[in-house]
Formats: sequence, structure tokens, C-alpha cells
Amino acid sequence: MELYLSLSAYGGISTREALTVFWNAGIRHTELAIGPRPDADAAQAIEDFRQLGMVYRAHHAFVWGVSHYPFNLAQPQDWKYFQRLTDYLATIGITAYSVHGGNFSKTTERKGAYAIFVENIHYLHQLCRERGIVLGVETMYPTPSLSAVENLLDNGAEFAQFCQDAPQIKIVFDLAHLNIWHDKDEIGLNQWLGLPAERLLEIHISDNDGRQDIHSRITPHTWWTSHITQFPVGVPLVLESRLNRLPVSVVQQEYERIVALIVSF
Amino acid sequence: MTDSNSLLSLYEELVQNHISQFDPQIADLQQLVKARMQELHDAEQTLVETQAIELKRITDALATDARCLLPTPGLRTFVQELKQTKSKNWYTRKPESSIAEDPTIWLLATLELPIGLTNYQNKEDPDGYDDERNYIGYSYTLSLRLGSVEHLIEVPLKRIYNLNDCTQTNIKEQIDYYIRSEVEGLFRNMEYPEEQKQQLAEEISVLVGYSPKIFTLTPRIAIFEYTSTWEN
Repeated sequence: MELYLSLSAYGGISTREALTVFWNAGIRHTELAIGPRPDADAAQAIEDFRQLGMVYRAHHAFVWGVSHYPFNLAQPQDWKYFQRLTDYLATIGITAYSVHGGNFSKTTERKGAYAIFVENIHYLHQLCRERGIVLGVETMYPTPSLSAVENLLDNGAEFAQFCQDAPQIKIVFDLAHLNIWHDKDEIGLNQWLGLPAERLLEIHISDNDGRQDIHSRITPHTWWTSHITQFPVGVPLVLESRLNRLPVSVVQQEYERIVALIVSF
Repeated sequence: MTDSNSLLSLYEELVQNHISQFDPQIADLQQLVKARMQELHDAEQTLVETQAIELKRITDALATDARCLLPTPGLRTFVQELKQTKSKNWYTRKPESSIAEDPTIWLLATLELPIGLTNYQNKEDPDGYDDERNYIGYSYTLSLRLGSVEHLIEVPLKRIYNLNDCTQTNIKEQIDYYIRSEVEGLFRNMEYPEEQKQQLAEEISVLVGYSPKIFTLTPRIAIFEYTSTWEN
């Protein structure tokens, strides 16, 4: 079982500082993500730890330079940026990249946003495939009712539709996001977890209160712990619980605790 | 073309005339206000210091047992307003608040363990981030002690994504989403019937949610404000 620790778990500091904490905590599998402060040293830090033996995957608008580039795949894109991004991933040997479904204003139609997203994802998939990168799309979550936007792929029905519309794209299950789904039920979740392993790119894990994606730590009460035995074999897990500012020893303990939790089933 | 010097010269002469007549008087007035404000600050010093001592006594009382707030009219009003605030999130596992409007009859009042609230601090996180974007986060933290168990609670208040995009948590969200889960964690290993744990957790959460109104009190000082504008 491969457990990656997301850089989003330890943000607010430079990429080099975060990777140093991970390395000293004995972590050798890292998912590049939002979280670290963008800086000119980020790419060099990623490369330095890669040469030491760190293994990476990358997620959505991860930090790899002097500025952060948030993007919304439900809108038209600057494809030159994605050419640079996928070139970079290929250069440092990353073969797994995952993205969000994008979001749209509540004053616009979901159908139109979804159509743009699917068109974009096909183009991004092409860019990735040409560079030997496997692309995945993550399950999202319903935004709070006061939010001005809604996420695509925030419910089981739309995600099932996406799986039909883009069968060549792999899936990323975020089990914490699924905990916020309005149409969540045990049978449906078992069906999702019953998908063949080759359909999945990775599984993201953390916890929340069922309403907001607060990336809290996993406890014995976390809903998906009772489903661990159903996890598809061989699919990498990515831990996203927030551990910001905690000492190396606590990061190490938390990582090892989750490894032990997963392998105990 | 009219010579610009001759066009402006009369006006500029009048302005100079005004400056020489009135600027010294304004400067004198500023000195008078400054001197009078210094006299007021000297006079109020004892009362300001006494207020600070009284506020220290109040925060010490919260540290010893925050249930001293239960009989206060401010908490009662806060509870009444909170109960009228509907949850804005339709997807909620918890029913609307069922606690009594009168905090003096809460189950919490009969609890044998003291509830200590200390170390209130406002926080700013310039490096906040969610799944997609960075933001500047504002929150407060305080320590909640229940008997011998102590827990740091962080309550997010506001996220500023950019000049035109910020989100705020209302008081009900602060209590229901952030304070309640931490308080429930404190009770997890305590031996009370589950129903009592839930009620106590709700009551303590409301008490914690109210406490910033007390922790942020400051001594009142004399301030002179004057806006030198008038309408024609």
C-alpha cells in the first residue's frame, strides 16, 4: 500500500521547508498540491528531494513556481500554461496528475459549465497522454448554500455521467468529499468503492463534519474507516489531513498511524 | 488669450489673505484641543486603569469558571438571538437549537466540573488556502478547560481571497461547525450519559461562542472627533 502525503497537509511555508519536514518524518511519497508558499525555489526544491528519492504525484493547481496559478476547468483555458505544466511534470518524471471538475456561478447553467469542462478535460487528457502522464478527475463536494458558486461533480449522478462521458479518464475518489455529498448512501458508496482498481488513479483521505471540507484528522469515527476492507487493492492513497506547523515527530506519528490503520484491515 | 497670471492673481491674493488671517487661529485651536485632551486624559487615567483592573477580574473569573456568565443579561440576549437564527445550510445533521433561553437553568449550571476559558487571541494567517485558492484567514483562538482536560479551539471568522471576494462565518456557523466539534471531543472520554453529553456540549459551545464579546471588551477612553465640514 502506497500512502502519499499531500503538500496541502503542511502549507504556509516554502516547498523546501515542507519537503524537509516530510523527508525528516520518513515520508518518501508526496503529492504536490496547493499549500506551500509559491517561490522561485519551489521547482529546485522538488528536484532536489526527487534526487534524494522522493516519489511524487501532482494534484490540480499545485505549487511549482514563483506564483500560484488557480484554474477552473469549467471555463475556457490558457492551454499554453497547461502545455508548460505537463512538460514540467514529464521533466521530473511524474506520471499521475489529477484535477478538480471546476465550478460555475449559481446564476449560470450547470449544463453549459459541464460541457465546457468535458471538452477541456479531453484536451488536457491529450496533453497528458502525449507526455506519458495518467490524468484523473476528482469527486467534488456541494458548496455551502451561501456560496456564489457550485462545484461540478459534486453528486453521484453527475459523476456517474462523467464516467460514461469520459471512460478513458481515471477517477480520484476523495472520501472526505463524498462525506459531504447530499445523495450519499451506503449502497451507492459501496458501488463506487467496488469499481475495478484500474479505473482509479488514487484515493484522497481526510475527515470533515459532513458539511464543509475542513481536512480534519482521521479518527476511528471517520465514516470510511468501516469501508477500508472494500478499498480497491493497489490504488495509492493520499493523506490530506491538515498538520500545519506541527513538529516533525507529530507528522511522522500521524503518517505512521494512518499506514497502520489501513494495513490493519 | 488671457494672461494666466492676471487670471489667477486676484484669487491667489485672496487665498494668501485667508491664510494669514485664519491659519494662525486654526493652529491656536489645535493647540487648545491638544492641551484640553491632555487634561482629560490625565483626569480619566484613574478611571481607565480601574476599568482595566475590572476587565482583568472578569477574565480571571472566566479562567476559573466561565459559568459566571450564565446569569448575565448579555448571554441571555445572545441565546435568544441565536435561537432565532436559522441554520443557513439546509444540509445539517443537527436539529435547530433546543437549549433554554435562560442559561441559569441549563444543565451546565449543575455540572461539577469548572469550565475555564483563557488565552483569547485574534489570529491572522496570510498563508491560508483551501483546495483551490489562497486567502488571508482571520480567526480567534482560546483555550477551553473542562476539569483537568484542556483544548485549544480555533474559530475561523473571515477569508479574504482578493479585494472583491471574501467569506465570513456567522455566529451560528462558528458555534455549530467549529466550536461544537471541539467541545464534543472533550466529552468523548467522559462518563456521562450520551444525551447529557450532547446537551452539555451544546450549552458549552454557546458559552464559548459568546465569550469573545467579553474577551474583546476594552477600557473606554475619551476620544475627540471633529469633522471640519459644513453644508452650503
